[in-house]
Amino acid sequence: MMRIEEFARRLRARETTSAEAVDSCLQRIEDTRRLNAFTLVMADEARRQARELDAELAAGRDRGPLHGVPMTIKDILDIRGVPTTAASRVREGHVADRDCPAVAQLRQAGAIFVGKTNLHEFAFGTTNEDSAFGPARNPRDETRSPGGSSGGSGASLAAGVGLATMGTDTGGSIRIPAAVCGVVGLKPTLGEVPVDGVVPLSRTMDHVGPLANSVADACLVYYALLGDPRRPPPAPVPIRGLRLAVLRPYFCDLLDEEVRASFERALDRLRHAGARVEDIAINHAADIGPVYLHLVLSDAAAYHARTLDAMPDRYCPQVRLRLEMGRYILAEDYVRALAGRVVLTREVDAALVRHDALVLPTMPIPAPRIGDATVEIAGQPQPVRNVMLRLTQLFDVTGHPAISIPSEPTRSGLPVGFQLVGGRDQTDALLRVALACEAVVSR
Amino acid sequence: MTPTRKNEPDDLAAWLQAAAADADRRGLPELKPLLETLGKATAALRAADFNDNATAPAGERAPR
Repeated sequence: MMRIEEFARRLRARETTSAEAVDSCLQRIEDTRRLNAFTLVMADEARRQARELDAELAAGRDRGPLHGVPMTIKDILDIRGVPTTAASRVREGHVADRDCPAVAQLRQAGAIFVGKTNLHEFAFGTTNEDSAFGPARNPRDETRSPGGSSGGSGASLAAGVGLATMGTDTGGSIRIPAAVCGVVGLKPTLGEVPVDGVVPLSRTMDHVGPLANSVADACLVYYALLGDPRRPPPAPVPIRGLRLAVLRPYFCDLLDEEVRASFERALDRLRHAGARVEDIAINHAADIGPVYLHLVLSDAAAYHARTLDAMPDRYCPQVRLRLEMGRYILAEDYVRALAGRVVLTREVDAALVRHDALVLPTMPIPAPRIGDATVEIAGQPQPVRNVMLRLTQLFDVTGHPAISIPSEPTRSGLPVGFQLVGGRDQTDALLRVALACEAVVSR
Repeated sequence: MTPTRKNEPDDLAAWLQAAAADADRRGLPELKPLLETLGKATAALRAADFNDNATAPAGERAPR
């Protein structure tokens, strides 16, 4: 896969043009149509953007590393003039009248939007199976899910469409597709990237962030989202002496054996490279699932209450049922979950006091097969949805930045993700750690 | 549905019974297994040791 920095160099050396890159993307979309990764292809608009940006560059106006870079956008973020469907028939007829702030920043940075990507309806699921557009498929194995909810984003990027893509993450929806599609996924600190103009799943836990082909590319998109599009990726921290804390109890209790082996080999490589790796525990880890569930169900049910009553048949049946479940949560239990959120945030803060990052697998399993409701781990059937969220949801509850980078794949070639977690409001420091670890773990 | 008033297992059973009856009334019987799952998560949440207890010392207040 071409990296953004390489494309930028070739563009400025006049070895390629944005128009050529867009045409190549559009052809790739045609060639991989069976992945069902897109809800909308914006061919005419993308070609127009490319012509304008090529002309700008020829005239000496350079917007920075994202100038003329083709990207895709999860169909839950507003792009002016086109529908934001959230992969739901509930939103039929909607057309965005302006770019959401995240898209506006990318447009200002020179990114070109070639299409909107499929997702689990209203971002409320981890497999991308429940979508008004049908399931997206994993390019590494088309019988398997590309993860979710940003499944079309992960699938399109891994299939070679565009140089980066945008996702949202409320329980793991950027990092999960990144892990199972073999790319990088960054969830910044909660609140860092505006969520205005993004259809909410949980107004208290939604994050916006990029999926990219490398940590450096993720940095470039992240900086553009912050309004600093000319900033280059930072230098990696020295790996020697890097202090990494492995979250062991709970987080490593329920792992597919090949995921466990990939994770342990990654840790061995980091130790061998000079990192100091130690095991730690997070108190109250067993409460993560209940806390997350009560928050996300309540937040989502509140947002959807009117349409659940007015047009229930327009929802995918499983998504409708999960939304309905939230309407039965008592206020006192929501308050308990809020208390748990404070406690868990303190626990993660405390774990980071003496460490540069926390590390754990991104997903306990490789990509599940489409249609499977359960997956077997250590001989026991486990619900796919619970398992997929198990290692990511904590950091949506607490708001800590987290990134998934590829580690060694399974024997059959399925991607596996290695997750790093940094201090709140220290996304940039996490990226410097991730750059260092990527050179060791993802090589 | 009728909300429950105490934090004891009997109350969760009553909550689940009321919720399941409400799901039936609304023509959503397929919701009942999900409500059972939710009930287990709620039981775990209520059992967590970070919960308030009106008989305990007030202590310091953490921001929420």
